[in-house]
Amino acid sequence: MRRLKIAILNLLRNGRRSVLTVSIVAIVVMALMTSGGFGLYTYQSLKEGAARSEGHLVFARPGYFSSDEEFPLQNGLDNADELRKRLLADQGVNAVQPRIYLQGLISNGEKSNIFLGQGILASEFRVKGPFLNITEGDILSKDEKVNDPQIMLGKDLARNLSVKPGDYVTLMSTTVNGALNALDFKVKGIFGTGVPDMDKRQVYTSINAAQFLLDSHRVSTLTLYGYDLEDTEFLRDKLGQLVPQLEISTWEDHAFIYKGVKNLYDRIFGLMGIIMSMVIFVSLFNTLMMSVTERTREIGTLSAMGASKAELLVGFMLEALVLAVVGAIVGIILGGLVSVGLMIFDVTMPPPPGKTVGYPLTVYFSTNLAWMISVVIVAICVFSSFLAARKGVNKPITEALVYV
Amino acid sequence: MLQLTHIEKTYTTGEIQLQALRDVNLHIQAGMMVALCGPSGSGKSTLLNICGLLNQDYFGEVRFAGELLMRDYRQAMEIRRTHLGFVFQKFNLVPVMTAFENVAYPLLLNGLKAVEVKRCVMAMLDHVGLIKFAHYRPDRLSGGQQQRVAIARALVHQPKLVIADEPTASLDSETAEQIVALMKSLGREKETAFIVASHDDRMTLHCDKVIHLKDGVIQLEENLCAA
Ligand SMILES: Nc1ncnc2c1ncn2[C@@H]1O[C@H](COP(=O)(O)OP(=O)(O)OP(=O)(O)O)[C@@H](O)[C@H]1O
Ligand SMILES: [Mg+2]
Repeated sequence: MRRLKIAILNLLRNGRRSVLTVSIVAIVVMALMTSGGFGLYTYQSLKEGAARSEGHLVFARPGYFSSDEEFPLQNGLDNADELRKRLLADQGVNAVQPRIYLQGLISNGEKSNIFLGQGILASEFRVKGPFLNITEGDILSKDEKVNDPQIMLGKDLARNLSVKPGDYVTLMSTTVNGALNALDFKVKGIFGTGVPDMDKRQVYTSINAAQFLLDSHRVSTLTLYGYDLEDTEFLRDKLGQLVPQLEISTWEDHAFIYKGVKNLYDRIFGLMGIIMSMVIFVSLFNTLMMSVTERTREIGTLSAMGASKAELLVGFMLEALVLAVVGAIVGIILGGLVSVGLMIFDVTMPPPPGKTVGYPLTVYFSTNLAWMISVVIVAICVFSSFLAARKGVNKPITEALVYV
Repeated sequence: MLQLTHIEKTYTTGEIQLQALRDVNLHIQAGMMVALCGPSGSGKSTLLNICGLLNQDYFGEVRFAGELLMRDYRQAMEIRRTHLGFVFQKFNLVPVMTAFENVAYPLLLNGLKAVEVKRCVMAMLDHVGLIKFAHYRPDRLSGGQQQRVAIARALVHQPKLVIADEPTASLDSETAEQIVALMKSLGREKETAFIVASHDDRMTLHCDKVIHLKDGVIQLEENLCAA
């Protein structure tokens, strides 16, 4: 306590310099907090996005994920309904959605284009929430008639074929037997995904219509949604025992954007952290060096009286500790204000590469991150002060005493 | 108590070698007040630094209370902490500490308990007549008051020897007189030996022994019977 008081008084001796140093620490902590908080937000939203579109777990026939199919649904699941019921029986399971991935040609009678399609249940829209931006028309209806199948088109594809809701398009694809099959669909809705490549190719149909087109009873995969993303591993292990004949992948296996961005950001923020740490190190070193030099005679006096070098070092390190802790606290508060400020005032970020829509700039306030940054920064400050003070403390006493 | 035998000290600055002390022999007995006189550059400070165990880079032998100094930093530090006190020309009080805290410092270094510290410091401040100023920082004290705090600090842990290099040089003559008288009375009371370097002739009047130094050589040792 006494030492702390002395340290604070010593810092107040050159108040302006101390304020400056605290400011530098605070700014660095704030910068790291906000950039880190932005990173965390980005990770979280990409993670959620990936989990939402890919499902928490995907069940497929072994080999489905690793090998290409020679004909449609070659590696599909046969008894999807029965498997689905079995999985749904588990309490931790929110929904299980069969999906069929298909491709082929889409035509308006005059012009054809390639499509990539997904056959889904109408409940997919409820389970996933609003994952598409419906620009015209509506989503697939639950009570689709067998002889009047419905389809949803990406907006660029719809424009290319000049169709609008109510018009008809023909899908052509090879069946499981290798024959060519065609089926007319009524355009139910048009959507934008925010990803130009998908808007140009993507279509959604019902599972039934897709099976009819491909002439198969199989589905490609069963996509499972739990309640909490964090329980994914647990669910996988539990359900794996229920359906040992299936191969299971998690959302993470399909979250290429998430992994890519995380990889990149981790490096960027890591590098930034290192640079910021160096700034802190140099700045603290400089401050402590000045104050050690100014107090050379005092160091000499106290050493003459029998104070050990460690005792004196601790005094200076305590000063650095006070600067660092105060700076970190101020920085965390500033970082918190930035997060709150961004919640109140919307700032929209430009669309990321491969996307057409921007997203709101959000910075998470993470206590874990705050702790981590503070501990590292404080450690750097104390270490830097140790190096700066060591030189002053090791000066011969007789020299220190006559220092002016 | 402090015994110096055949002390030689050479300063080397670049090419130049300067012999600051030549074959100095000195014995300071307990409770004795010794003045060190001599012109500027005669080696007074150099000798005091060796007596105060601040400089270990010399030839010859120094014994403190019979113990031979091994030129070991720790050993010297322990002795300084427990048995030595220092008074400086520029007072050298710690500016952020109050008079009380300055005087308490040596006791805290020696690991005394807070209650003990308080008792000793207050008694000591009373001795130097500054009890009212216990909670003043040095910048609010006059030069004479600051030096009295410094003397209290040098004596509070009951050292065997106090080293004072020009303790009155920064004070006016009247205050200087008081400071010298104070050192003398406290030294006698606590049986503390003093070794004081000074240009000031009046200083010598109060001392038991005066040593005249010139060009690093002891010219004369006078034993006085101080009144
Ligand atoms: N650190 C040093 N390096 C080189 N020479 C030194 C050093 N300290 C003192 N000297 C020299 O040693 C000699 C003795 O110096 P010292 O300081 O002991 O004299 P002094 O009697 O205390 O003088 P003053 O009355 O001016 O304080 C002087 O010639 C001085 O220039
Ligand atoms: Mg001198």
